[in-house]
Amino acid sequence: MGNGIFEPEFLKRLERLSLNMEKLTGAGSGGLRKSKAKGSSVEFSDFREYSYGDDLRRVDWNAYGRFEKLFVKLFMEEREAMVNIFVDCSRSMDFGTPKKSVMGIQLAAAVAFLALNNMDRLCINLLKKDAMVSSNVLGGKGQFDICASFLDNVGFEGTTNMDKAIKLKKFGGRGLSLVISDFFIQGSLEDLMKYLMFYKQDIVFLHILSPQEMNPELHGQVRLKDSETGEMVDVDITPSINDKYQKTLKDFKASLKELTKKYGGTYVTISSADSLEKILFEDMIATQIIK
Amino acid sequence: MGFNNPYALGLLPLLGLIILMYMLKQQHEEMEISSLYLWNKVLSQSEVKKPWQKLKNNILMLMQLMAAFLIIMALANPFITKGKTLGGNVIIVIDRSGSMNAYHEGRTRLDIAKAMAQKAINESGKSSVFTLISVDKTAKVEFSGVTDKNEAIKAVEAIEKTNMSGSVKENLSLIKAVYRQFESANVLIYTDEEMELDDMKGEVIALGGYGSNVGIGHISYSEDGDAYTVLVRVKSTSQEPENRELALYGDDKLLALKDVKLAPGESSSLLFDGIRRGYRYIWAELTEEDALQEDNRAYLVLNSTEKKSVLLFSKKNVFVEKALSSIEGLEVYKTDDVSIRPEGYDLYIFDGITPTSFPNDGSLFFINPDESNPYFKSGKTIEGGRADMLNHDLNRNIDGFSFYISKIKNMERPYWADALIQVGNNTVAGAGIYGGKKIAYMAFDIHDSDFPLDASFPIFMYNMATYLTDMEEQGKNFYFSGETIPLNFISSIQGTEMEHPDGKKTSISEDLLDYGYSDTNSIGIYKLSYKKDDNAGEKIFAVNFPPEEGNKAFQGQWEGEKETGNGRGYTLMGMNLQIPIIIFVLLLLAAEWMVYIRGI
Repeated sequence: MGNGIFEPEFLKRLERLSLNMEKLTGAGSGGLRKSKAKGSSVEFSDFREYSYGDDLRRVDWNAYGRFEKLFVKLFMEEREAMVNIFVDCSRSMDFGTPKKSVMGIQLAAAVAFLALNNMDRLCINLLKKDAMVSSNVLGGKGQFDICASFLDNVGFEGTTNMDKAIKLKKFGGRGLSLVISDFFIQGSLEDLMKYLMFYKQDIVFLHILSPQEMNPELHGQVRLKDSETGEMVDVDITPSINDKYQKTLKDFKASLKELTKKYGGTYVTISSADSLEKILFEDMIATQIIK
Repeated sequence: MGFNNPYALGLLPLLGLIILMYMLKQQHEEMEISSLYLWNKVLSQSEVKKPWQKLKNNILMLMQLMAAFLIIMALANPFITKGKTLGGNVIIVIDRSGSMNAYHEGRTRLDIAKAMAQKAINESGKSSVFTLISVDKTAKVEFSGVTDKNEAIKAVEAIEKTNMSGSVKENLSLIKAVYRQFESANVLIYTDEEMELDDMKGEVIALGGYGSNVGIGHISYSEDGDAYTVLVRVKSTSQEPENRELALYGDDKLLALKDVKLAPGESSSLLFDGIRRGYRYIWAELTEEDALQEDNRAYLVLNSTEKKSVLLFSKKNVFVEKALSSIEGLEVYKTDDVSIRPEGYDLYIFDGITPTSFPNDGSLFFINPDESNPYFKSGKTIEGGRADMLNHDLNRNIDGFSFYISKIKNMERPYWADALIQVGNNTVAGAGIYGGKKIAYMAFDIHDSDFPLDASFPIFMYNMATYLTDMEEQGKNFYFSGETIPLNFISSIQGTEMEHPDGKKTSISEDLLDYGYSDTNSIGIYKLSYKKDDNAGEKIFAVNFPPEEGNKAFQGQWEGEKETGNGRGYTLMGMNLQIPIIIFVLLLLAAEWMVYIRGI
């Protein structure tokens, strides 16, 4: 996966969006990001290359004088917001038509783009089994390539112990934790939620399901094999069983939604068959994750 | 329970095929999915809620197995028995031999058998098909394949009693042949004979048993000078000692009475001597009524005492003399004196001798005539050959026989004579009536032939003698009921009519005389009236009850109160199960469909 996955037009549309930190951090929380327009009164932190739409007033003309390139000044105060993207890299994510993994990576890239584009600090964490592979902390729009190449080499293997893996993460402070997974995981998420809350994380669960998981088109007697564990189960597919599956799926989604709501988080169900545009510009805007 | 089409049960191994198909079907299609996370929840939920869910596949299989099994059962067309109800193919056999006339509490065994059979028919199932066989001296299929109960009951009612000797056991082969016509059948045999059904399904309703009875086993007579001595043997078949009075009648006149005491099973011979001549028949009767009436009387026809006289002109012919002397009722006189003028004989035989004058009375029989006479011309002696007995009433019992003659008289057959024996085209023996006289001739010397050595010779001589003297054949003194009375004892009779003991008269066609008279069921004296040569004639015959029927009548068991079909629990067809099974199969298939679709 490279930077080329996003069309220029799409990128332009993305650039107008940003993560809705106010919504995510909640009203009156005294969050560090007071304004989308990067402030000018606090400590300088970094430069980044000018891009279309940036405020001309924040162009560092001195730097322009030295390098003959337009740079925009970034300030420490605005980069306090840390965005962590956790991508479930279990084998179950590599299923579905289209694959959930593809959608997961695309979503992660899109959110990363939003974060970098808005001068947020970003870290992408790949959850693999009990461990976690994390990218460097990225900042600035110019580092999207690094981000893209990091996401480009993701492999989906084995099972993920999400609870254990995420707890390996040392959070520096308040921030946004966005988890992309199908949540077909063992164990309770309750502990994980408490852990994230402890580190003052705003929680977003992007729940990706393939169309085959939402509406399994199975018939007759089948032997289902778990891709992660190899476990097999004989099922006689009947209308009654199909009804039960739908109910179980509905309960599953509802329980996740309830859980995230309980800890002030946001939950979105995403079909891997949906277009990225629809997810970003409809679903995620509708849930006010981005604006 | 039984099956109308048991061959369909051969399809039962197909059930194994269904199980096999299920075993093969159990090879689930393997599919890899992302995770069993949700499916495990679905299945655990299902299992918790419905523990038998795991068995669902098996339930489907069991339902299909049951449906297949029931379809095979329906094809086998099963039926269940309904207790006492008779059904299916029912073969009713009723013994109507003489012993079935024995009384049991005021009714004859035959009447009881008929009533029981009618009750069985009446209580039988709607689908019953009846076959009725009556057995006397032979077995007769009265009807077969009748489904109308009323018709069957009427036919049973129409079975009449007989006095004949008969045995169901001896006719079992016919009953078995009828039985084998049906795929399955039940036989009900009503008889007083002790017997088994062998391999047939059904039961024997034993109507034997004991009773107080004495019967006449034998009657005969002997001549004792001018009188007869009559012997009557009586036999008790009772379990108790019996006292009886025996009456002897001559024609319809009581001649004598005798008392007799009999121990159980004992038989006794009673002699009545000094019975004077003059009666045509004698009969004896046990005066007391007992269990079997028919054997209480026995009849006896006395032979005619009239003798015919024959005068034989012969030098010496031992063959002819011997043949004539052996004929009962013939008085033979012999002479070689041709000059006498004989008179008063019934028959004159000229053996190689021609008298100077011929008698006016009697019949004539010429053997090897040496010269011509007023009745025919004699011829020269020529070489003989094989002599054939021709088909003629006077050659009865010997037509077709042949013998050899070395020399014959070449004489022309007179026009009035019928040819009896021929050598080539030459008639060597003939007989006929000429001028009111019966005349017969043989155109060869018996000594020149092997005729006397042949079995046909005495019969030929007997036929000639009876024809020429008008002597009647004596016949038997009595016959048994059902026996055929031979009627060919006299030739050329017409207008024949038989009068039965009960007065019934039956005309007998001339063509049927040779077959005898077989309608001899009634016991008593039969009178045959006929016309011969324009003269009316009459002969009587006695028909008696066969004593073996009386002897065997009071043996064995009595099962007159037996409930048919209940006694030994043998199966009788009741309800056909095919339709209910088919309905059940359809319901089962519908339920199976529901199970499959609804997944309950």
